[in-house]
Amino acid sequence: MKEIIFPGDIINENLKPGFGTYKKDGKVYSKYLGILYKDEGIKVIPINGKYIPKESDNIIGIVLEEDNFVYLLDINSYKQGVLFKRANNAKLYDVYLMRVNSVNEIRDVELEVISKLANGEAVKVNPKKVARLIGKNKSMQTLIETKTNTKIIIGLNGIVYVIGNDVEKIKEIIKFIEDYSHEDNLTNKVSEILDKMNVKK
Amino acid sequence: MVKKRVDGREMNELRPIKITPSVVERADGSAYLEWGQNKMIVAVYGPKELLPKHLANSQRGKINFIYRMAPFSVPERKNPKPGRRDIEISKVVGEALSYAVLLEEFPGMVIDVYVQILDSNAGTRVAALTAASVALADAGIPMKDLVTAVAVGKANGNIIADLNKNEEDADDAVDMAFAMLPGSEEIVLLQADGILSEDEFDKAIKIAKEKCQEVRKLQIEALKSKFKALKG
Repeated sequence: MKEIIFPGDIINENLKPGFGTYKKDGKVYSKYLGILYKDEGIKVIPINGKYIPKESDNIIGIVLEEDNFVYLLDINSYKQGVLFKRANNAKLYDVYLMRVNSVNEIRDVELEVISKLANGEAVKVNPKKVARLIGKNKSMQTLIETKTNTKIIIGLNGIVYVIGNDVEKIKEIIKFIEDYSHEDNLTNKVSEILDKMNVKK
Repeated sequence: MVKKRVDGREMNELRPIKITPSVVERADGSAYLEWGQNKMIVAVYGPKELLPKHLANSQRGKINFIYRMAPFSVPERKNPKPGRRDIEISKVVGEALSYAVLLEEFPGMVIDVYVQILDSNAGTRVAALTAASVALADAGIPMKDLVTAVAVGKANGNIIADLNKNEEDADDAVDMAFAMLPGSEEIVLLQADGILSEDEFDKAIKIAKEKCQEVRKLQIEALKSKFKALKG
């Protein structure tokens, strides 16, 4: 079990304060309800929240609205993504793999389409747990892919595209990772669960 | 013998408080709170783009706090139309929260906080503030600190904490809503009616600060329950 921290808690460590902390009167405090990590510096990963766009991230977006000039995409972030009609020919509920070209100060994003995704299903994940779903050197992603015989494409914004027959199984695993991401040795536990599921089948 | 209140509580004892986070599935963060007879649901949506855009502030975000009482939350039916009191509470409690939330991280955006009072028996504004800060933490919104609030005051000649409706209706009643950031003891809400002497006021503030620390512990216990432990 990792260390849980609450907004306004003082962090007594002589490490460089990083994401999720603020300084006041020489002391370091936590900004979020989340989990405290102490590696090279201190960072607090919040338990929940929306995707914070970052340049050169690969994300997945779903077309939800259109008007005369643009498509508006759900990208799990504070604002909607925009695709211009003059450059793209999309339909409602199309799913796109995209790259964030630039982000400005008020968190507007400029997107570039990498490819259109088809023959699968988009599943939403808590954006703050995406790192756990990928794992170190993609260990978790590879484990899930091999044991369920599916292909999953993970957008860093918390939308996952699943190609294969076992979408329900993947949803269950994602729910497990979201609920227990604060536990140690998560990869082993997910492996056990996947084995159990395969036996049942 | 120690003097007790009509409902059996000590002079500075709070009513039982129960907080449950994450009760509204489609909200970004939420909480259900029972504070004595008071019951309410808080839901947080956002941060999201503030529309129409001329209302947005390009320097910092806004908190849109909406406090509403259900028609059946009081003994006599309440008109569901937002009245003078609902609008006032929405304003002061929203401002108290704005002080704790780091709004400069969300330029041009808004955080919607909706509070629905299901049952009330004095002290709903402090209860709403307590629950709202739990819901905001649940939504993963950056804050300086949790906001904690209690009501203190005077009834029948005694300085007491957490008044109920009967005590609020006493002849010499003073009801003082009090909220602060428990870490730095910065006061973010202070409203009162009635008359207190200087000594009584100081005593009341001292009790309120003590009780706020107690409330923060309950908020933290509630938020801890979000991290489920793995069995076996």
